[in-house]
Amino acid sequence: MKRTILFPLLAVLLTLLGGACTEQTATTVAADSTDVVDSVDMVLRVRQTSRLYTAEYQVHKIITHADVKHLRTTLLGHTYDTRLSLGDRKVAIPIDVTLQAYIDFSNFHESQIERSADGRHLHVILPDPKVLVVASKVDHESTKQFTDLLRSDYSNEELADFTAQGVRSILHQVPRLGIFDTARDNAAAILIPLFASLGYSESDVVITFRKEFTERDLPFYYDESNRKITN
Amino acid sequence: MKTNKNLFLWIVLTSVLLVLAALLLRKCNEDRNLLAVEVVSSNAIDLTPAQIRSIQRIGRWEFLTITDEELVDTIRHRTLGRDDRLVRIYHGTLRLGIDLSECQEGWIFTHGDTVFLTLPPVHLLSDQFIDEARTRAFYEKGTWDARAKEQMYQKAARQMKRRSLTPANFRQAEDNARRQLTTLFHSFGFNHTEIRFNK
Repeated sequence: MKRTILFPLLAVLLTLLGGACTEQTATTVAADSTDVVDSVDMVLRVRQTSRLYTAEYQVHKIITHADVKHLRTTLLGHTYDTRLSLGDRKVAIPIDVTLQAYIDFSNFHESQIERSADGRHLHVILPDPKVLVVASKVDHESTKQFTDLLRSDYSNEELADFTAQGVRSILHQVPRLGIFDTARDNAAAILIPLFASLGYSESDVVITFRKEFTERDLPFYYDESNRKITN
Repeated sequence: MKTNKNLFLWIVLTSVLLVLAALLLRKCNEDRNLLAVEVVSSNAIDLTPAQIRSIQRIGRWEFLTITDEELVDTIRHRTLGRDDRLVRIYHGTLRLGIDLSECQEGWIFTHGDTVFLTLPPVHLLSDQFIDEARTRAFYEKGTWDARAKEQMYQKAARQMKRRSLTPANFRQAEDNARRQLTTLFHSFGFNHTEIRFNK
């Protein structure tokens, strides 16, 4: 009989002790911040370039995801979709993305320069501008999750996947953001005075680009090289 | 005798049903349109607009790009049970070059077939160089708040700077700037290019 009472009592004591210890750990974390134990480098790649960055856009986006479970039944070619009442979860991730447009002079060639016979007029055909994501930053403080009792929180892996999708969706909107016009205008604003310093009159210098850009050009204008870790 | 006959019939019937069920399952497996039941949820994000916060005209010439990945590991010790741990891999691209807006009056002039350039010092072109959208959560145990993630981000940035902003890399950027600009001005008919960097 004594033993029967002793075990539950011991269990309650251990639970209370455990709770107290957990609370203490949490306090320590809040006070001392996280304890970084180790960090190692993975990849370091150095590349020589010659790029003139002429436009920078700061883009803000709130990435949202609603996770609703459905029961999908397929019978004899017909699909029936039923929403399951297992509980939903939602997340909103604010993100700031820095886009920059540049002109790549690495492969610039003499053939892209035309001079008039008298040497007064200069026509320069510049390479097409390209856009890349220079940086992206998640506002972790403002990230909000709403999770029902039966569901677990989103994992960091899932959140990282949504963030990557968000950046991709911003890139698909690049042609509509007007960054190419800004890049071209500013390239001319930088280079014309530079050519004038070489002895040309500013009114005699003409800078041209290939064409207007649309979403169809996405594979061409978007610089994929920096999205890959290794060649 | 009758009991044995009934038992035999039951066995035959059960066997036939089992074979039919197996065949049906196999067919269903081959043809998902026949019968399939699954619990699904979408991993695609919702369509939301992007808002332009700022547009800036810049004039930065990049001569060296350093792509770096850093693994940052954070651990939270627990008195009871296993420690919480979060391991994330950060991706960053640091760009070294010159900011043309820092060029002083008379930074470029010509004399005969020579062009003279006085350039501002090579430096890190932007302090925002981590692409957090490419961050990968390598290992995760426990719940981590925004502060912990921000600290990991800052730690990764410090490590990337320490590893990338070396005198050797600055020298390499300057050497490349000389090479690239000499080639560029050669295209414009200048046989010689004299380049000097302000310190």
